[in-house]
Amino acid sequence: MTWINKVLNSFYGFRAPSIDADADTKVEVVFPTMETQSPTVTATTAVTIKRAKTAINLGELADNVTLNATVSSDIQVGDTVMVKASSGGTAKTVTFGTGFTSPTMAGTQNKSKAMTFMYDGSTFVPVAVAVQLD
Amino acid sequence: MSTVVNKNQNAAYGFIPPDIAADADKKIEVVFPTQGIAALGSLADDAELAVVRAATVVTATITDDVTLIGALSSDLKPGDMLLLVVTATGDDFTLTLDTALGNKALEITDGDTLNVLCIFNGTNFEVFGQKGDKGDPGDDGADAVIEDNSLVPAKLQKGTDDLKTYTLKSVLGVVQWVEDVAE
Repeated sequence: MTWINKVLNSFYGFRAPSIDADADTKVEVVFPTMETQSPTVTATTAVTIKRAKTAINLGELADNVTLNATVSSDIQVGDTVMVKASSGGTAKTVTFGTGFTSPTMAGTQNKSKAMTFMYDGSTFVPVAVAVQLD
Repeated sequence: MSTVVNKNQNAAYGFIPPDIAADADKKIEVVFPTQGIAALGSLADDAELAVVRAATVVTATITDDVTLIGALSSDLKPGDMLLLVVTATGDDFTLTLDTALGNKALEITDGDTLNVLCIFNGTNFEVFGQKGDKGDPGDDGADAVIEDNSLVPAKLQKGTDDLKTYTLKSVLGVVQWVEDVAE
């Protein structure tokens, strides 16, 4: 199937890869959708990860937070989650609970930090150290 | 068919062609983005790693210094991702990624798991980020900017002592360890 940009007269399509392991099999991928979540933050905050790319903004933390994620069966290997949180005058820590396998993201006073995770088939694991954004 | 429908939820999914002037009057194809897991098990010797999919997660335990030798498929496109989840067991070991996989030597502490994200640049993979169980520079403060009068927690290990969490404080540019909390 082909998608056409009629303004630019561009044709976009997928090409089947040449992967021996896929021979004689039907290979499907979940449609890659994305979303941003800004959950109501409490000491234990629950989110559901169900799309290929998810940006979670916890805002400025009033207290330390444990983030638990319910991982949808639609989540595929390689799907990503970005978690962002800010601290005010007192540094707050995000602890990653259910759905994650990760050290904490320690806050810095009056700074925002972000951390990115990738699904390894069973849990979201961090792919880099927390980045201070400001 | 350009639309995929979830009939349970009456949800229709489709792609939209982007507005990229450079693509005008051209046919653009991308390789169908499949994902896969490569479980290498326990490695004591150098090993070849075939990377053929848009996203690949590799799990391994190393019981000696190991070099991973990348065998890259021509199907790979820039931006494809490789996540290595590697645990060292028995001692501290070095995981070396050959030129195809990022050309980098990574020290892994005994009992730790190191996650390494590599992204394909069109020729080979490059290490984009890494995160270990402990002792990562920059993880919680070290290698980070520590502003005057700010407190920054950091996991540090002094010599052969156990890993501990410290709080670093910078006063007039001098960094002090002001707190010491056992893990």
